[in-house]
Amino acid sequence: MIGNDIVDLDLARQSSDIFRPRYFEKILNASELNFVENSKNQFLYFWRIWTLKEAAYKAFQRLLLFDDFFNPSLFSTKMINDEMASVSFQNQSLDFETETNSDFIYSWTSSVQHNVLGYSKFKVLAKLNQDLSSKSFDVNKDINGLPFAKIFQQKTPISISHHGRFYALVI
Amino acid sequence: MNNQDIIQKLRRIVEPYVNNQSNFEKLTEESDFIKDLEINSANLVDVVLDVEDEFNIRIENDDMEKMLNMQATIGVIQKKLNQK
Repeated sequence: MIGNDIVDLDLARQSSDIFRPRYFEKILNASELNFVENSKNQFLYFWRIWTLKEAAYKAFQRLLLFDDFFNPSLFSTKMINDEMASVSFQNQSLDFETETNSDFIYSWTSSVQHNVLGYSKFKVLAKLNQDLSSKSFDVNKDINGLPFAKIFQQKTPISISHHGRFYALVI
Repeated sequence: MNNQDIIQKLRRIVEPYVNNQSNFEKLTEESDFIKDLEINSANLVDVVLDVEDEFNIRIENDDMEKMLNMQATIGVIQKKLNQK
């Protein structure tokens, strides 16, 4: 099961005031709230949790085929170290990796085979075609609305995340 | 409060977060916040908080869960106003 999520930190700074009253309570469970409030960099810690929850939502939706809903507090994150974490939902758990730098925070399920990040969809698809030696990698949606690509005639699940300057795709 | 009043207020609430202006101009009760208006999911929280402030209500996460489109959001607001 695959899922990914990227946050452009510049865009996050401009367009989301995460420190407004009650914002954290809508997203975080009690233990996460405690971790964020006691962390040295609340901004980065919050967005790391956010990308994990969003990536987990996408991965669990593939597994459980639930209808869309918006309740990130139901996805519980557990940090293993600065790069590794697990996220649980309805008694199931998946492993994730996170890359953090001054431009973005990016999380994805550890089980992915290909992981490409770039400044545009066009560049990412071009890179994938090169990596896979394929010619016509293209993105579609299945009857459940979940994205897939046809790679050498084979329908293959993919996950896409796009935010601000960044476009990321995992297979 | 009738649905039209709620829609008017909701229109002003979602406007700053909209990334698809032409779909916003055609806003109806069927409009989906993410698929049609292309609101970033991080800003869905802002929509919910702005709704709480505007209507002076509190929305639990169980109700927030459904607030992905105009219709469901109007429903949650009506329910909370009726409980007041």
